[in-house]
Amino acid sequence: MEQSWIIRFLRWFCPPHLLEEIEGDLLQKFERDIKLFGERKAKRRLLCNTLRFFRPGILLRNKFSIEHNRATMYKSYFKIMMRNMLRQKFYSAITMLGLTVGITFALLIGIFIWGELQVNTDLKEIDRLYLMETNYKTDEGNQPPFFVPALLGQAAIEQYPTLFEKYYRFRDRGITVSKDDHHVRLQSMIGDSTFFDMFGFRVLHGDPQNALNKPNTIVITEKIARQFFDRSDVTGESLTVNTEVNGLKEHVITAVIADVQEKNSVTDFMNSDAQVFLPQESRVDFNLGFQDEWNTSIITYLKLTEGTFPGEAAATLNKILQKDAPQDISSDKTIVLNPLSNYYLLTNHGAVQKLIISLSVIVAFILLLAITNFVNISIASSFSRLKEVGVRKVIGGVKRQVLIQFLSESLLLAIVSGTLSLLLYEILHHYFAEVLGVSLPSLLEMDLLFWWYFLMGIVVIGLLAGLYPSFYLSSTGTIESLKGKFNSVRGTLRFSRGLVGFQFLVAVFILVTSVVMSRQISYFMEADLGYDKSQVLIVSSLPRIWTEEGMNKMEIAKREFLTSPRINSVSLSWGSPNFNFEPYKANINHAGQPVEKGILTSMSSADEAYVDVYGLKLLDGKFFFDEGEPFQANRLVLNESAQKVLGIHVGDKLDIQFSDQPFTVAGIVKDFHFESMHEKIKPVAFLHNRDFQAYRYFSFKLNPGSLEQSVQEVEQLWKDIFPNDPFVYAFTDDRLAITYQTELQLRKATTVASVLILIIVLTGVLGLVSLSVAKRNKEIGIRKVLGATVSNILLLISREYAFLMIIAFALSIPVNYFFISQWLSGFAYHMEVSGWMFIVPILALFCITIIMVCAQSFKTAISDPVKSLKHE
Amino acid sequence: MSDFFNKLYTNPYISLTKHIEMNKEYLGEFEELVLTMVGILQEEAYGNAIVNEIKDRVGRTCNLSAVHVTLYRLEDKGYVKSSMGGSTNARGGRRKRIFTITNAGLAMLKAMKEQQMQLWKLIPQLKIVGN
Amino acid sequence: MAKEYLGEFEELVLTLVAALREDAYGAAIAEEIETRMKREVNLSAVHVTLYRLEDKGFLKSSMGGGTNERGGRRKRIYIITNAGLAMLKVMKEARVNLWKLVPQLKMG
Repeated sequence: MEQSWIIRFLRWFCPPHLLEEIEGDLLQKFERDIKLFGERKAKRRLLCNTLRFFRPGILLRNKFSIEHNRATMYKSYFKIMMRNMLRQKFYSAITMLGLTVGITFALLIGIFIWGELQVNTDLKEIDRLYLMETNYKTDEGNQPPFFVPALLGQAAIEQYPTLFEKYYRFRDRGITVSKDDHHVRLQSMIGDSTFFDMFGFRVLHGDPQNALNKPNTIVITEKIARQFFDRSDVTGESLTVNTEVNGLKEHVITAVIADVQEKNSVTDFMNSDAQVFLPQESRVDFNLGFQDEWNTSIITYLKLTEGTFPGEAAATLNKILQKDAPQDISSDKTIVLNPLSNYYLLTNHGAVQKLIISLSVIVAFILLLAITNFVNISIASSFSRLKEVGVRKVIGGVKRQVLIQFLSESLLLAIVSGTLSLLLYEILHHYFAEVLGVSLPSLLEMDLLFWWYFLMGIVVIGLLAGLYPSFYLSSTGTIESLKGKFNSVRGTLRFSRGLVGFQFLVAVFILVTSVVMSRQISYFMEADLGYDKSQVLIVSSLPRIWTEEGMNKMEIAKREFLTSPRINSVSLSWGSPNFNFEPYKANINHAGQPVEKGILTSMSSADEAYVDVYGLKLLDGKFFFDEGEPFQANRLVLNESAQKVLGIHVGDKLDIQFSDQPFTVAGIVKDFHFESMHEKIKPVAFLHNRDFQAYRYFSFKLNPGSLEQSVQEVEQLWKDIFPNDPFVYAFTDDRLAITYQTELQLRKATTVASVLILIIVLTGVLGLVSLSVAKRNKEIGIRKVLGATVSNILLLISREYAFLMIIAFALSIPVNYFFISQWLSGFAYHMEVSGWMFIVPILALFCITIIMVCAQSFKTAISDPVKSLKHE
Repeated sequence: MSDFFNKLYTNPYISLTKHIEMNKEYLGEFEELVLTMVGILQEEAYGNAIVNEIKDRVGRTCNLSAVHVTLYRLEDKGYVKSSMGGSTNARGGRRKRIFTITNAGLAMLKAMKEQQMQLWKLIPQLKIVGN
Repeated sequence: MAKEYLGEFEELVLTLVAALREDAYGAAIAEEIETRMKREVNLSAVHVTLYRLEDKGFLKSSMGGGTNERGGRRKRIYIITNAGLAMLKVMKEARVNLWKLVPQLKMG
């Protein structure tokens, strides 16, 4: 037949097990068509009909019809699911809003936490790295705990090479580095040549073996290289360093390392963000003693050999200390080893760890609330769905079908919410990073493990959310008997109410807690610190010439600064009250009495203008001497706490540890907070700069007026007076924020969390109310016919929620109170918890909820009862 | 060519022209449903009422615009006719367009019912149902 | 007519399979629709619907005899299952209930 090409075409695409019947049918039709329409038309029709067999329903039909069955089944489930979701757009939207908000927040916090956990992870073999710390046998030592005797590390390696592999020691120093006229103030680390090998920093240029073993050499980071030279391969170039002892010196760049991870416990130890590194030979340039002595204190990292236990290592270190070190060094201290792997988390009283835990708890609560919303709304809306499901008579396995349907619905909801959250995160992460003061990476930078966790999380959320509704709905007796329906309905209502009550409880708990935290932190910030921190400009980048000549130079500079009308007063000092205040601690006692029996006092240094610049209150005597008076040596100013303990008066003579001469008390100042308000105020003593022979900061008290202009003027003056030093400044009140950085972060996070929780709980209530009102349409209609007014109806509906809230709030108060008192007791200075901190949030939440409930039911309450009754 | 046409006209099997006519008259599933609803609702048949009626009786949620379009199409085909009805406050004073089924429409329903019943008659197992 | 039930064309094909008894196969059903309902129908649409109904369990099929007209090729003969009959019953009941509500349709 000429039409065999059509048949050939058919045979090509048609599945073989269908071919015979299809071909036969086509031919049969063809024969009949010939009789009806004649051959030509019949042929055209044959072609047409054949072509139309080229369709998915035919092509994709395979022998394994069971699978096709399943595919069809899934397809129909999916269709039903989409239909249900779209039909109940409003309720789907509410649950999706709650879930999306919750997941986005979880993403933000989760990624932040993950970032914090990543700190230090790119240090080589970090599980073998430890920081040595000193535990003083008495309550406090003279120095910060991370200073240890300098020879200890070396001795350890020499005597016990099987336990200890390597060490690195350093002292930090702020230095001014310049290239021609470009001056920059940087933090440096002056340390051993083992720097590269120990930590595995990536060396971009230069030879790490020989980079830090000669004097007058310097290693810099890529960032600094670009800052000075606009390129990174700068080995062999030189930079000028302004040393404290030997003036300006050229240093040759011997290596450039890649920029180091933020917040790591080596270059960013104690937030120093070191960018340049000098060899131990540079110590002579900076008033630092020889490093290989027991007397010298230094920061030391140790790398243990594989398999060595830190406890064993620490014990060995103490043994060496007791054996080899002189008595006065070894008698008052023991050494402990702190692993670097969790150093960042545990330092500062474990501040970061606490933050992580609190945030995780908050996120868990938020997600829980969002899921609760879903459960509640599913159950409530299911009553109308059951009618439609109950009519099914045809296919068996209804229970399983409904179960699968609901689980897949909740999974789908979770997936859609998850996707939306990813989008929201990308859009919002910069803004939130700013708010929290951290950096949040974009999603594109996350690795596979993250996506895996995320997917798992979404699936868990979807399943959790869908589990209860699915089981409840699929096993309910509505399909079998009406009687059974009643019992399960009541139980479910109780469960649903319980969930709503739980939501209220959590919401009010978080609200009250965040109000309290917020107030406490404001208390910190605004409390009377005992000094005036407003409009005080601090400059740290002055040349440190710690000689008589240098002191004189600073005096002259001070007088120059005072010529400006914008500057009220200037002070030269070691530190400011809230930052870098005390270089060391020493025992003080009345002259003639043993110094060891005196009190441990924080020592600092300043000049006679300090009291003006910082607004300290003099209780007695003078702050050294009045301005303009000639310098008098060996004078001391004490604070109230010191005075109380020792019973000191102005004019008394005191002995200070480490000093051979007695000092005269010149004045007493009122206590001020120089540490964080977590601690009680301790005794403090001021030495004069000239006695202390060192200084670091200029503090300027600015006259009222435009801060910007004042800064500009100071900068101008600075450039004239110190042309070779950069102008690095900060405001005192900004510095305060850094001290309480973790608390501030916590406050911001809890505020955001409160808002989110409110959104979730309120939208949940909204959804529930609208559902229940829709269900009770007829009931409301009847009540109105029987004479109920609009307000009666509103009262009826809101009564249920009011009751729930009262119970929830009452339950929350004792728990909340206990929790808050615990938290506040961690602060030496804290505000009192007053009643309004509980009452205001509770009242606010109560009112908002009632208003919303009424608003939502208003429409039904005023509608024509005839209509609602007729509609049935 | 004329030979061909002759064959068609005399063919007892099928009449081509009648073939075409009948096709135009065939109603789609949704059209039949809407038309039936108009027949059920008598005086009260307008857009919203039909949507509600379908939801109640058949459990199927229809889009209001789909129903409107179908009503207009049915009107074009002459199966329903419409007039503006009374207004109520609830609609902000806007009048409704009330549809009533025409005789042609009834005839169509009857014809479709007849057709369906003929089919069912062929299936012995269906005899006891619905009578 | 509700969404849980069959589409209109599926119902039609299913009915015809029940009506045509031993002679229910693709071409025959297509022809029956054209003669009875005066409605243009495509053969492939009928085939696909038959396969779908079989997947849903409303039909069973087996290969039947071949004829000369088909060049000896066998037909796939379909029979309605109990589930299929049940479905038809349900749909008939629904339809009949609707018709009852239209006063002018009251005749047999």
